[in-house]
Amino acid sequence: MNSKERMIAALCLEEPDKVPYMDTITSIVIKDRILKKSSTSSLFQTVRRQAPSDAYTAHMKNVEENIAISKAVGMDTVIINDSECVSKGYKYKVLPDPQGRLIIQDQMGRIYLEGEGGERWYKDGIIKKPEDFDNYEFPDLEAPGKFDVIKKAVDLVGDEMFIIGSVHWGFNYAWELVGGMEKLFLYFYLNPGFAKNLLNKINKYMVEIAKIMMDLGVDAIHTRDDLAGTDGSLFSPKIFDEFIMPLVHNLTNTVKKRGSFLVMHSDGDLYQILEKLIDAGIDCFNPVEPAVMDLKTCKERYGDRIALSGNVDCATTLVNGTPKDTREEVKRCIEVAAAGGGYVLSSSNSIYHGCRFENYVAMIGAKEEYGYYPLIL
Amino acid sequence: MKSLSVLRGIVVEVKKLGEDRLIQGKRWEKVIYTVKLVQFSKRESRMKMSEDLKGKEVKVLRFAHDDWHYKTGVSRTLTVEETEAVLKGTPTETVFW
Repeated sequence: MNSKERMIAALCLEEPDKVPYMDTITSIVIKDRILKKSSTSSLFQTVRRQAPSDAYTAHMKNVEENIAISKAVGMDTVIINDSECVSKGYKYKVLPDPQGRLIIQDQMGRIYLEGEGGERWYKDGIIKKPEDFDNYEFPDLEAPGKFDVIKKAVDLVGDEMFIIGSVHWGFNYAWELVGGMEKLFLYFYLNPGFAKNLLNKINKYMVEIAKIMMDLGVDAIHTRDDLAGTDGSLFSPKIFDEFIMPLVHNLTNTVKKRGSFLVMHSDGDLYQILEKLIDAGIDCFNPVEPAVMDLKTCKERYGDRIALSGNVDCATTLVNGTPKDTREEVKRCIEVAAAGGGYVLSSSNSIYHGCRFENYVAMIGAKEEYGYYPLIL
Repeated sequence: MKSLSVLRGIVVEVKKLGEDRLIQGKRWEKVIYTVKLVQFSKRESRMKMSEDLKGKEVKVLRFAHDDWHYKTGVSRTLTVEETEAVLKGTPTETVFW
């Protein structure tokens, strides 16, 4: 089996030849050590590189780098975010900062600060009041080169690797545009008309992006809105049903109609809302945050309907543990969730700057050591 | 076009055959899984299993190594070729009854 076949089998709840692996590596240190050279594919390095060229050129180069990293660590997927799809000549706007920090505004109007380890930290959004949204313009989907990063990934590895186009249900973009999650929550109660309009327009835009990605050949659509925290759903049942579920249905129905897969990422404890998301048609739930969700329970409760992915703890084990701890964690995840198929190995969020390189190497090694299904000879 | 749809079932018994093979430095043990057929994979939702196949027990030959390979009560997937053999009623080296 190649990577694409392996992922498809797992998402269809079949047994592949070995447990597939999907992850997002944001740690520049780990990327550098994998590539044995200085990597350039973080958002802020892209911004630094756009001076002599532009973000389009930088992102096109980043696709190659991310594929090289995926191949080097035996990852079966290549994930490309909608935010990496920029038109030819596009440059991130660099905002002035009295403290000399690098602050940028992306094409959607979200403002980020360069955080620890060169990773992006959310800072603000450009919709300061509901009226601002009346004049808001989404980036042009037909702009020249807008989806060239997707085309490039499909051209380079579309036959062998599982390519995932990552978008949002709409929730994340909405709170990022209005300046924070708490502000959007206030709008749910104080100005529900505006909140719905904002969410629905973003969702409609995301659906259009997903359609284009699928037309260009991605194998799955991925959503990355966090819908829960460690103490449960971020929403009351009423708010979730009224504001969030229509977004879920709209995107999921579009993806399912085209026979594609929907992989949903959300941190937090989703026990209260996962049944609804499964009923809506998601194919895979990632990352089963180990602090609040038990992989074995999830396998027993949901494993006959969806694939599960994740649970290798990047909040504790990959950060503070030893390589031995990491190997045992990977082994535990495989033992609990891989039997019978329907499991995709992954960290419990991403391989970020806090993760130890030695532990990541141990994770990759353990995948090869414990991850093979019973052989057919 | 050849169907990719495969049959899935639940492992009800694992029988060790006492035959080992060394593969890439690891010792893999020949086993026969008794698999109670349940359904086709969700890959092809139009494929419905016929009533006479539901609950049919087939023996599936594999090589096992890790502890989790010996679990019962978990799903096991037949290959495309094994699925075709079951549907045709023609046993093969790796699937029989």
